[in-house]
Amino acid sequence: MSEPEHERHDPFGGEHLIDDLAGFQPRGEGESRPRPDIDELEALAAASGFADRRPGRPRTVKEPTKTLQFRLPESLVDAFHEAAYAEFGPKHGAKTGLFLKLWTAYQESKTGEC
Amino acid sequence: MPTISFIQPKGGAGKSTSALILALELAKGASTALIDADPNAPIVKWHARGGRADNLTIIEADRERSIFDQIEDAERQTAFVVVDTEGVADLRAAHAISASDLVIVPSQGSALDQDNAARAIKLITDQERPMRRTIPHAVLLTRVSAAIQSRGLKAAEQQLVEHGVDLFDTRLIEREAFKAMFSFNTTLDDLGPEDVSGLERARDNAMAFTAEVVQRLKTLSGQGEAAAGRRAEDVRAGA
Repeated sequence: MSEPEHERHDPFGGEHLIDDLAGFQPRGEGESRPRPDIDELEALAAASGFADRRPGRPRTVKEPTKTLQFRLPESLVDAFHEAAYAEFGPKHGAKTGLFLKLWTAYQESKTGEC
Repeated sequence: MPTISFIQPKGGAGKSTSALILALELAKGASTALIDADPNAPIVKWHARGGRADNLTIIEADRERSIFDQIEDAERQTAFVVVDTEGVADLRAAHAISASDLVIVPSQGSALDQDNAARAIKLITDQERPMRRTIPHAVLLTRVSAAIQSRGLKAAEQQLVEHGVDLFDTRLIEREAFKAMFSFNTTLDDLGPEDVSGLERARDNAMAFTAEVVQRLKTLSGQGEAAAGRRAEDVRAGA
């Protein structure tokens, strides 16, 4: 079914491409790729909606969220924001992260009292 | 040694076709492994039904084993590794990205494809900081009409450029010959003019796409190393 190679139109120069390809070699035995931190990678993926879909794996069911809203003195709110950014970086979820950290510490302190 | 992954969390964008086209062209000049990480296994089925080429190894990804390990194993055996992933937002795509030298995001240019391409690109760029390196990526417009350029495609292309998304100069045209590779479980080179129309144009298109991929890889590994290093510094610095 195939036709002779020389009859093919080659817009980029097939020989050059073949030469270029020959310059690539398999990875050497001693060489390895830098490995990602799997937990961090999977957290990033999950945040973007990329889930573990392998059969038999438990699907993470997200609990519905509610808004928690209250008023505090402005200086206290500003200080909280600054602490959140310092702790978690200037990204979405920093304030929630700091609140959950404080909440966890509070829960642990209660457990320690018992 | 380079690993090229095709990521698009939406089906039907031409991922498997693009991956097969690239792998077949690369295999003409260097040993190439094509890892099929799609549970629907379109490439594995193509191979099982008789599709094959010299220098090309088809690997069915083991879903219970890290795709990172499977890519690394393949990199020790072949000069190029091409990874086709599932057309859903799957965690394995994230793992494949982390092990890739180039990520290709196929998109038909429709609004839905663009939205999902944006999701894939966000995941790629999000991974650059923890990986402490840039992860080169570009959108490949696929299944483009040979006859007319739709307003939707023009708008999509403009949108990508405005958002600073790297775009392949080559577009994969919607060609009967590309579909025929799967219909007849064969390669473009083993098809004849009596099998499909526009075969020469399909071959030219496949070669142009491959040449562009190889040029990008050469730039990244060679003369582009310094620039890539500078970009990596920027990523680390949070620029």
